[in-house]
Amino acid sequence: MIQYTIAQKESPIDGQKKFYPKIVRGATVNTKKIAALLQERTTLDIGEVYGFLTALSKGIRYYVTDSYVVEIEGLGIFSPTISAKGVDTADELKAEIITKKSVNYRPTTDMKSEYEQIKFVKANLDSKHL
Amino acid sequence: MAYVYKKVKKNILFGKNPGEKFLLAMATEGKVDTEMLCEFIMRNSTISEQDVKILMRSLTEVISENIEMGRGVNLEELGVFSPNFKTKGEYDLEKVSADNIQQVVVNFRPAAKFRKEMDNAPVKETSRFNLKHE
Repeated sequence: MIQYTIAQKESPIDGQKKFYPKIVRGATVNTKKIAALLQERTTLDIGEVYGFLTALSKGIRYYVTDSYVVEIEGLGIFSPTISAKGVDTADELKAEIITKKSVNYRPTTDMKSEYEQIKFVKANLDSKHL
Repeated sequence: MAYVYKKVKKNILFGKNPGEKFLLAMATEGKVDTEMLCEFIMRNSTISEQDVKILMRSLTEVISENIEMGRGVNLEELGVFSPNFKTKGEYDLEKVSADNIQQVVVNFRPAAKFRKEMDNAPVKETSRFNLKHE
């Protein structure tokens, strides 16, 4: 279940002000809490769980920065991306025109289906959020 | 280790300066799946194969459970996963309901360490696909 409120903002299509549902996020869960939740589900000690999280993060970073797409069941797909300006001639195509190296993330199809089952509840907030 | 790019030729139809343009695009080297990542984790930790598999499954469950409750998840050496909505707007406040939520999307913001590694990664040109018309 995810809570929402209603916010007014300019429509990107026609520039008119419209009302939209807006997510009310709970507090972000940090690594310490994640490690504790994982430890509850295994017989490992907390140091080993941190070792797992470090190695997992290192693995995703390692492969993405080496131009691989990383697809993890239940976690999502991480793809390397570059941004570069278009040029008029093939001779101008040099590495120097790359303006940004980044990573794109998207959930897997299974995850998207799971998110379709989420229920939404209007949060009881005062009018300052409008 | 590098970001590998390819050269492409593309017909740009819209914008200030339409016409045939030359661009650089990502040329990925292939796909790494869950099993390959598990092997990487085993090589880089002291955890057994069975425990790595249990932890992978548990981690994905814990992340999904929190996203489905509207909470972000911060893995400090990887990044932050945050739920968000894709929505449809209304001119009339009274018409807005949960039905205007079209989709739950998850945004990912890479951690500072990840961003730094991306910035520092070298780039290199591939010999494959170059100047293929896209």
